[in-house]
Amino acid sequence: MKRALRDAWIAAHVTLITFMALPAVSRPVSKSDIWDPTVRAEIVGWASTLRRHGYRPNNDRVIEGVWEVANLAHKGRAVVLAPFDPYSRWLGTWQAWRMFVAPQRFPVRFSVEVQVQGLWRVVYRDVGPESWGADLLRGERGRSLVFSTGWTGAQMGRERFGRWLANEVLGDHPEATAARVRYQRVALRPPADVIAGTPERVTDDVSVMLLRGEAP
Amino acid sequence: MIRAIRDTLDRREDGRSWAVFRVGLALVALLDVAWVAFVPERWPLWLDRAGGGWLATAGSPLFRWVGASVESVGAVSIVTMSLLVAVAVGRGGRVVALAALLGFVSLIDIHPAAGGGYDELLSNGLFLIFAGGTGAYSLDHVRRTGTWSGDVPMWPRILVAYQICLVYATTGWQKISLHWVPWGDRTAIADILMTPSYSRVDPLWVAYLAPLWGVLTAVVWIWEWLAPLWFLAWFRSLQAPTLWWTKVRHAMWAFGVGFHLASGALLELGAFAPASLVFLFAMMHPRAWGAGRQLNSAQPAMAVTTNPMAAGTP
Repeated sequence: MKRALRDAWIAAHVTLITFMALPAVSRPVSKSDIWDPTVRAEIVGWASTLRRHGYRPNNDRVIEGVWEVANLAHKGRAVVLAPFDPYSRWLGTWQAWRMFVAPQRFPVRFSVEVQVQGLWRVVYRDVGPESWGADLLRGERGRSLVFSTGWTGAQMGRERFGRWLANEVLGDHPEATAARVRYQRVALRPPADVIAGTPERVTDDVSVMLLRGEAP
Repeated sequence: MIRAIRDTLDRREDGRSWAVFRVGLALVALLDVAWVAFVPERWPLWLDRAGGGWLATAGSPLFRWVGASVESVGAVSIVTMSLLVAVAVGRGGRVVALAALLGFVSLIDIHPAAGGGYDELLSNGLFLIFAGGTGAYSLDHVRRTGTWSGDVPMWPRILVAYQICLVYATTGWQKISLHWVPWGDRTAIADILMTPSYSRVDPLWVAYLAPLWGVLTAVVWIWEWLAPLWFLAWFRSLQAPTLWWTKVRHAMWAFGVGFHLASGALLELGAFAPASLVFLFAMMHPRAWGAGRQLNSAQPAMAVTTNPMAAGTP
């Protein structure tokens, strides 16, 4: 009896974690997610590959199709997994192994700046000597946070985190009249351009700003 | 086939490999919590707005209920770290392992965006320790039997191997980017190494070695896609080791260890490399950890232990 129960639980556990781990999107996909430059470049790239093999997909229709299929799969998966939520969430058996599924071709360069006497001064940069807040921002958890708030569709999280961080930096720099948290999206350079020293091309520049005295 | 699988699940083996998993995983989880808990500048990662962070509400049910403040998160962190020490030394059995798991999950779920796959790998590992129990080479075992050594069931370690192979396989199956697939431009690893959020290396250095990253991209992709074969080879070697299966599992395991050492050195991935290595070390046969003479010869596991192809590494 004990053996049968053990084997039944092992079979159920293995089935459940395998299903949870199967490829899927982590949350409903918004249109802004799909229009993120990295995601769009991937879809357009696949459409070109299909074209080379004789198919004639329309880029916009492919994007629309990917969006619909991803959301439909997400809904179906959520319905199937709902009864097992306590088992996966509370007992830590959740499986989501979406790790580096596609390289970020338009990564964010993150910085924190303060305004002193009308001039902006960088106090933190993700790569470089400016290291205000490095204990928080340079470890893996801080880097994950910067990565996730840097997504095109993450305006709300970016605003909340940015205003909080700006308030903190103003607290440490009493001479500053304003602070801004800056996400500069750059296009990854091909190796030849890196070796030649060609500067990075900024494709997007988003800041969250806080004036001294404003509520974070 | 089902009977053969059930027979394998019934078998017992020396408890060293399981102890390596229990001690290693508990220590990595402990460091993961301590990394936040012992540095006040990092506390906001796990605090809600009312507690001094930026989160509207915490993700985990416990902290949604009590609020994620310095006091509540601090108390749970201290208790969880103490419980993880108890798990590492093997004191308190499944009750302590479950309490450590619940505390750990509550902490990492406060702000999932400020974490990574390593948190989930660790929570899954703690769950398997709860399921498998503390076993031999633990204070509980010494209190019960007066000795460190002893046998443990083999099935928890089979689940450990399945879990890590599942991680590799399903992360590989999601890598359908044209920069990952072998018929694409294979720039994925170079691109990742140039992403400022994760990289620890100079982009110039990455650019000079571009051809090497291209080859590695294809190899990593194939290795991840073939992880089910690795599990099959490992599982078959428990039943009836053959030279072919032994070569497959040794090659896959050795590449995995190299992959995690390299990625841990080149990228800032938190506890992912050490947590994964603990899983890989737990796949090693108990003989690799010095077992062999102490095993009870009445146990069928001896058939595996005495086979030269099953000895040594993974």
